[in-house]
Amino acid sequence: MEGKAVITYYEGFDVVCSRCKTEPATVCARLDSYCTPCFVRFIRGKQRKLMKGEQFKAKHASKQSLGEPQKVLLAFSGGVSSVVLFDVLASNLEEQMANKGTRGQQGFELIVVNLDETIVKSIDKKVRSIIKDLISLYPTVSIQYLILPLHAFVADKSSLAKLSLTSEFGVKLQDIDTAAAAATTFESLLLTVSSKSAVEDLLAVVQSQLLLQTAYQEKCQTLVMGHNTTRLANEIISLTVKGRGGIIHKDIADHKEHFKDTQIEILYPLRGVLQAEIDAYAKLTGLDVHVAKYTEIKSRVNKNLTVNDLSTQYFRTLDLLGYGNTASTVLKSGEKLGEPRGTAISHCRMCGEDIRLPPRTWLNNITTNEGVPLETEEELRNLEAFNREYPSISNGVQDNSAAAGVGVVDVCYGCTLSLQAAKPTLVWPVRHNEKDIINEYVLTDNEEDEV
Amino acid sequence: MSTPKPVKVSALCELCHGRKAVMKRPKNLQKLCKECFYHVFETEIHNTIVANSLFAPGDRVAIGASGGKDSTVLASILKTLNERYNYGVELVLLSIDEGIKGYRDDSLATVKRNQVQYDMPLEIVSYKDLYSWTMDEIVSCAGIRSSCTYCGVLRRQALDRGAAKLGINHVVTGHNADDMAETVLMNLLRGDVARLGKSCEISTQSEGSPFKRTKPFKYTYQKEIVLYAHYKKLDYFSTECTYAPEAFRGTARELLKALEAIRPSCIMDIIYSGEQFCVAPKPKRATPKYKNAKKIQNGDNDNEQEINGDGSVSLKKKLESATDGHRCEKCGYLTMNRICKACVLLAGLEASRPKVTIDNNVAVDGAAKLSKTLEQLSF
Repeated sequence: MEGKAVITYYEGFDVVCSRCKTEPATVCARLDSYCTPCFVRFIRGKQRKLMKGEQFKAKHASKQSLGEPQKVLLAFSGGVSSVVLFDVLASNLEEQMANKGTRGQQGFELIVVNLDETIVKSIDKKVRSIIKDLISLYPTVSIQYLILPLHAFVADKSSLAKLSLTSEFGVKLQDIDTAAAAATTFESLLLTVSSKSAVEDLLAVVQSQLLLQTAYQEKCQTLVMGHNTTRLANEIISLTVKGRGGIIHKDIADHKEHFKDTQIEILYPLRGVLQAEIDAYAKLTGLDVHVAKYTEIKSRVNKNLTVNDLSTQYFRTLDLLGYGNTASTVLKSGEKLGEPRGTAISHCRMCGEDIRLPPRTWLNNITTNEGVPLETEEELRNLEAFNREYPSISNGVQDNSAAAGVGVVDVCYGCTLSLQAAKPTLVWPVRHNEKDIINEYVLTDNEEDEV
Repeated sequence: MSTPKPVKVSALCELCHGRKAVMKRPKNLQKLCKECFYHVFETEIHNTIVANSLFAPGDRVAIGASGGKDSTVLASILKTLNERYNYGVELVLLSIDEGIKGYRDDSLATVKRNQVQYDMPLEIVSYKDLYSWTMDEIVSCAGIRSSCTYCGVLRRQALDRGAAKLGINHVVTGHNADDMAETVLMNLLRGDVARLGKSCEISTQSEGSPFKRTKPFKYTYQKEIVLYAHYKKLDYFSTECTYAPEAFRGTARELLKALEAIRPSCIMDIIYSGEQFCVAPKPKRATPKYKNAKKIQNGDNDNEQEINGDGSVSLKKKLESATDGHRCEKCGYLTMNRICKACVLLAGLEASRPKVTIDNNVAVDGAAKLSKTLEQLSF
């Protein structure tokens, strides 16, 4: 069943916009013809609908003193979706300012945050100047911005520890000395990870942590992300492939996230808009000149790509084949998922997610790691030669300690996979575990036993 | 006579460290010797069987055998494990003849050889006997694009009917880890929410059905199955069905291959994810109060019959019958609806079956037959 292209542009002026019925249509989307203003309105409508709650509305002068000011943090990468979302939000604020009843009032404060990824990705523009240019397009509204280096992730030196994977899929935790901790930079942390997919996976953990932390520090109640339908579908497939299928249900939903003593609402206002439609919005409004592009050309060889790259490429191919709507199907399937069965037995010390199926047990159940006993003299001679060359592997000290649970910490499946690519150890800010504190300081839980 | 050169330490098997490694294990790229590979391959399958208690002593189990590598290895390994670990099960080969000339007839010949090699009884059930259609006829009537839809639905039923004929209620199939991962992705891509939550179940049994299906190769890489068959020199048929898979599934398969190239563990990772999938319960919609009030007022609700707009009446839906345990009104097969999917498809086919056929018509012989003939041409 081959469908039509998601977006087609009209060349001439012979088709009339099916919305306003007066202007010539410029674009055909979802079987309807739109003129540029109507198309822009259509896309903006998605955000207006999602953020129609009272908290985002401009309040009448008499009610302004009620409640704390609503602050919205926009995660801005400089990519096309974030540029479009900026425009959609800024136009919303502009409309609120122009509204007669609440003249001169913004319904919420907008703060744009950019995680400076220049140490891992090279792009053709400075994100700072993109944000400045975009803000200047909306002179009547007030928008703050900040740029956060990824180094902020390793700022808390006291939480840094060395993690390594044992052959039995256990994760060992070792402390590092203060000098080594002080010398740890974000680059040095990533340098130990050999696979591009693992770097990408860890970066995603870092980004979501930093965004939440920024939202917390800036006292923002809401965090908005530019992810569109295609991007979220891509996320669903990538998470599945990376063994993180258990968090899809909340990761792609508009949801509230606990952070320290507060809850932060995460929204994806463009979840109902396909990538091609975002591109059309940027093209028709002339915003595309502001979009940052990667200067690094993606390899044509699949082997050099990452899980996300392959998934992106897959959805692009489907678009070309006329299966463009697959993205929304995938998003709908993902939205139907709920919390996995079983209770969370612990939390991942790297990313903080719940662990239900312990990866160590699961992997050990499906993997056999013992050889067949040796028989001939020659084979035994080979073993002796091996033992002489690699005494550390053959005596199996490391494995025994892991099997006994010494120094082994809980890490989720996805992080275990990424750890696998880190040689020999990965320095990471490890999360505190209530259980550890209890184990360390509580002598006994049973007072009667003492007697 | 010179003694053989000792094997370099770096070329030794990573498990026994004594024999020369002859292969890289696709699952984790460990370099292994043949003996250790056989051992881990067989033990992992044995562990899967034991951990999920797939078999009980005295069970009679039908192996869905197509003659392809998966089912051939399955037959071989189940025989080996049954003898080694005393499962005490009786194994029977069960084959389906879809009626694809040039493909299935050849693969069935392989199954017949396997029957002798493994000394197991064999039962062949054909579409022609069951449904009076062969796949070649179906394709010539309904077109090649929907071939997998028909074949899939019909085979599912045929396997159950074959098992029933043998008096067996447990069918094992050669579905491997790659198939599982592909299914997880396909269910997401197709939005098949009903199946999403059970994409990775090792054992499936419909409610009310006497037949259980299990997949002992759930955690077994396809590539390892190929290697096992290669080293053990198993006799299998390696041609793919000529009615190639639907285009969309093809794209998912390519994606999976590309992913596996960058991360061999991705097949297991997808299965791990799939095992955690759980469809959220539908939010309950509260019935407006006035709706119930009306019924209560009328009291004698049973005698009322609502007439639809077109003058028809809806048959009363019993809640129990809307589940799996219902029987098809036409053939008696288990279904969720009044008529099972196979009967619906067959009725559609029957309506478009040519009224008159030409004697010795060979046009219905599918692509497989044609390519076979072309292969044998010589100049």
